[in-house]
Amino acid sequence: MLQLLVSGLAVGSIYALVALSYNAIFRTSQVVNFAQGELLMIGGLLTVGLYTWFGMSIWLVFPLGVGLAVVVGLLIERLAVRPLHGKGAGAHGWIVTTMGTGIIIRAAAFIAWGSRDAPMPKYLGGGRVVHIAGVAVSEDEILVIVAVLAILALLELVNRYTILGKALRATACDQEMARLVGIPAPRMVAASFALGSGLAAIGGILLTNVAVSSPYMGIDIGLKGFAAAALGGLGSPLGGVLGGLIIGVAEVLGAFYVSSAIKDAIALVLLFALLMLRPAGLLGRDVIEKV
Amino acid sequence: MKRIGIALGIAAIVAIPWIWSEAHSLKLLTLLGIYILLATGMNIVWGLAGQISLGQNGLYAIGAYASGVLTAKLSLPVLLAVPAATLLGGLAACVIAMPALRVKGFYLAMISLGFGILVQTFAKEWASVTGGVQGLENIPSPTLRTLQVGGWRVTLTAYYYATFLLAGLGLFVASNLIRSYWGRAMAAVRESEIAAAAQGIFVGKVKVAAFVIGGMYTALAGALYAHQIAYVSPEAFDVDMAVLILIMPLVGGLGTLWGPAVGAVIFLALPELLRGLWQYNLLIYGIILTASFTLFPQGVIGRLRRRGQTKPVQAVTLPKAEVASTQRPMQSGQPSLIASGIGVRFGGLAALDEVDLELHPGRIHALIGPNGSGKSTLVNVLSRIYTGYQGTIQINGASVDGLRADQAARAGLARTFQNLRLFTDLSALDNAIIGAHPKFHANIVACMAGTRRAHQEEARERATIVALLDTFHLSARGTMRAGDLSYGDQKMLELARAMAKRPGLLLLDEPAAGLSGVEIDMLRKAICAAAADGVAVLVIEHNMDFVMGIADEITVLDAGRRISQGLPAAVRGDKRVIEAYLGSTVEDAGGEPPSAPRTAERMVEAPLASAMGGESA
Amino acid sequence: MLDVRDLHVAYGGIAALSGVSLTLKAGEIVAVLGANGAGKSTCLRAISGLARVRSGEILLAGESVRGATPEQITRRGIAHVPEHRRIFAPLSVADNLLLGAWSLGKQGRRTQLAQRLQMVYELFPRLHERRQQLGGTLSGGEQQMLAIGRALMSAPRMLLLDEPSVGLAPRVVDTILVTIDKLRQSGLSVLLVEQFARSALRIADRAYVIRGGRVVLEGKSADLSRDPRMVESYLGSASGIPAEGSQL
Repeated sequence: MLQLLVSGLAVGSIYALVALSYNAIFRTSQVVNFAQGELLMIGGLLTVGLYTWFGMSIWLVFPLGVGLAVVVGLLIERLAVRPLHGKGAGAHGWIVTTMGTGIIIRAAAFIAWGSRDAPMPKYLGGGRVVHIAGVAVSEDEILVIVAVLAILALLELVNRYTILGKALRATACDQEMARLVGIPAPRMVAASFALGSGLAAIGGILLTNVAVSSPYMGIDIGLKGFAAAALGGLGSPLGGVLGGLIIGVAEVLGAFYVSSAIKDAIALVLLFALLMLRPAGLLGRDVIEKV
Repeated sequence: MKRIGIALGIAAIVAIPWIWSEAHSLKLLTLLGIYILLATGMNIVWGLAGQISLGQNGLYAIGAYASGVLTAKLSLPVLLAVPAATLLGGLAACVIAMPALRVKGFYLAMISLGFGILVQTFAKEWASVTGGVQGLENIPSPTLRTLQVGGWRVTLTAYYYATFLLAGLGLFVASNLIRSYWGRAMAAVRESEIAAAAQGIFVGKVKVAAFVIGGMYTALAGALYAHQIAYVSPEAFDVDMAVLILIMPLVGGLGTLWGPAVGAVIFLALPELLRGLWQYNLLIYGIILTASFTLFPQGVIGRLRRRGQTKPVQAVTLPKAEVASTQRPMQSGQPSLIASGIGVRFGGLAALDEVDLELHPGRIHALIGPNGSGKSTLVNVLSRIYTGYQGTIQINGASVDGLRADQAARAGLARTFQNLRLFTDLSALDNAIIGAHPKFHANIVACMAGTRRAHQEEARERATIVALLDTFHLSARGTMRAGDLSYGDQKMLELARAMAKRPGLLLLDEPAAGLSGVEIDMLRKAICAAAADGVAVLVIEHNMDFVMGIADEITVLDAGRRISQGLPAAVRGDKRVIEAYLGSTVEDAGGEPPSAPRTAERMVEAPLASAMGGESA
Repeated sequence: MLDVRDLHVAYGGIAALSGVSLTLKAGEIVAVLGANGAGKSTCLRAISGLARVRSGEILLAGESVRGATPEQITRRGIAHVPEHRRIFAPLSVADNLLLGAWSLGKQGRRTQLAQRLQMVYELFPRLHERRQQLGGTLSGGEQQMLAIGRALMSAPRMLLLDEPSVGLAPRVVDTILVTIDKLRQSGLSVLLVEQFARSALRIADRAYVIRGGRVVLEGKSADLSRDPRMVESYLGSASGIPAEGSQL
């Protein structure tokens, strides 16, 4: 049982990370990036590819993977989101444009990557097993959980205690007012895209460590990460983490006790139930629209 | 011009099999018909009703697998299986529709995306029924010469004709829908849900209808696809398919009738022309989508249409009898609306506190007060946009506390908005006709079929509304896009839209703001005419000259409370009202130096005194 | 110091301002009055760069600031306290004030932050008491003080104050306006937009009355507060016939 729980938390941690990346972008720009899964994918794929086929060290490969995702994320903001600011397009035009960038990234990755399968890199030599309370638990999974918790803590610290973090929160709260105190809101939005992309790429690196990598891996995880963010309440980082962990554990338990086919449906069913019952999410707040 | 085009098109479709008769070409052309159905279905959901569904590939799959399973495994005749699959698609579409009722666009997009992926996953897993990853084989098909209808074997050519017949039917039905009041209601929901509800449109029902209709188109396309290629596997229904279904109507012209068909042609031809790796195609699609809203927000057909000239709408003179046959509540002396003890809190702040209001037929009641005093909030409560409040509201003696905004509109309550909420992309005439939504009664099937009754109802209402627009001097610009009208015209149009439902109650929120002198005159005449007809009118305004000249009675709000009520002259002279606007007692004029404690006390005393209802000194 | 000439601003299709001119000298408090919807807030928004100016000039100390971004204008020494206060609700009082000093830059903050904070806390002792509290939990009056304090953190030469009285009790409004008056002594110029004329005229040196996007009255506040046309511009003339000079 403990084994299942740890596995669930490990999977859930990656979902949580993706949820955080959605939230980072959503909070300042009110945009849900439909290419988020693809950012995760290219971060992961570049890292795996360079490590496995070019034998580069992880100290080089990790920053490159994250860096690529950040650059692409900034491009998405510049090309697919900023031009739509203010234009009609049903105020949801960015759904189509960000989805379009996701398609471009996926197609480009497929062209570059081809159909080869990369073996799982096991960056830390892994596969080792640790014993906790007499139960054998995979070291990789513990690593994932610890890594994500560490990132969460770091984000919280930056958010709460640095002036940049406060400026980001101010921009998220009231963009116009932020500009009036001199905060360059457009640059803050770009910065949050960079942050979101970086987080997604880290998620990609963690994921490719334990699962098969392919250019299509972003679709599924992008969806589940969003479900996690929505479950916890869009805009609430803690909520996203909570949502991710819940989905992760539910998936693993469902696969074990019911059937593995049900695994993929769980996130979706939870999201559906949430939207029907409590759209604001577990930790979210209902916003009253002024007419 | 259009008729010639359609005739040519039909001729081409009929003639083509004689020119290109090899199997490959016929199958490709049949696929065109299928794509037209796909694109048109998507267009109804997204282009017309404005709901972004990224999961149509799931409905496509459901239609294909359903018909395939029913015929291949259960040996049902094709003529039963295909309609059954179509209906199943409509049913499944209800599932996607449900979140649409409650949440914003991007949630719907995500969940529909998930739906599509889930259907594909089920197709892979549920191997006993669907054949799993191997796919479903041996579906009766003209390709394998195994398709039989009523004893006759169906050839590829016959199948091609049948598909195009269905596609043509689909376009015909779509055309009827778009032109009917149901289609207009969907467009209204797309443009502004709040304004749509205020016209009496039940937003939820309209959204579900759009999804179901679109779902049926998509499932039908799926069934036709399954029978054409005789074999379906989960791969055909992945995310890339969802992208294709999305991009066809987008590039062709979202919201137009022929746009989806044009898009279908483009995206069927493109891969054939490019003949490259599928991923290169996807790359191009991705670029098109990313640049779509910057490059061509209207699509191909939309672009063409914009350039056309707009003809003025002919003002039809109706016989007097018809114009006068509008329903009005009898001037019985009974109040049209009674609001008692209305209280509203936003967070911790009381926006309204114990407010009472009565509106009588034929009387114009003005609501004034300084910024933030709660006037718009009160109107929003009365028109049922805000539903969380204390107190009771009765319209014509019946309580309306449980009603939705659209139900209140159908009970005879019409309103305009402080920040204009027109359906900007629709024509002026369409805006006004939507205002008369409660007067339409034909059901949706009749509208889609284009029955005589539906057409007659449409023509009748249209004539009435044109006459109405004429009184606002707008009929000459009737076909103009509402967003392109001048500000003054737009405000008049919103008023016309409200009047179109021949309401018993009219609530106007700052109708005179931003209008020129001439336009204000027209506004005054229109409001007085409405009152003369027996409508009970409530006007929020800041333009005091206007208010004083038109109001029979005035209520003054300050900080959420009613501080004065009565005839205009009395209210204007009421010291409490002057204070509410200007800030302190009258006799403190004289520029005494500030920051002297005595003055500060004096400044506080007077408002306190007035709040306690005493006579100001 | 501030010279606005023949300003035309349009929103959507409406002309919000049709040729407004006003001036503000160093150390002055000037009130901009008028009924709701007259265009007062639009004036401030045009000056601080939030609203696009169609034609006209805005000169700050002789230099044109028309077309500059809000961030740039804040750096030039203009601080705008918008309507409804708009403090950053999820942040603490101290953090709100800290962000107010953003335009000083990292260097500027290192040298000046402490002393500016002290100045603001001395001006509004209530804020010092509540400095760790979240902005969203403050009362309306405290939020208004916070909004003003936040604006003062950037050491501005000019303060644009938009309807500080909305939703506040008269006594609270008085306290705030009295504080503004005190600030004038340190050389700060204030452009005060108000709906409630009387209290604004009390502390202002001069005033402009705007109606329908144009200036219809201007002069010293002592003169204006005795002028019967003041009441007219809010409540219209007794007969319902428009007064002269108020063509819409």
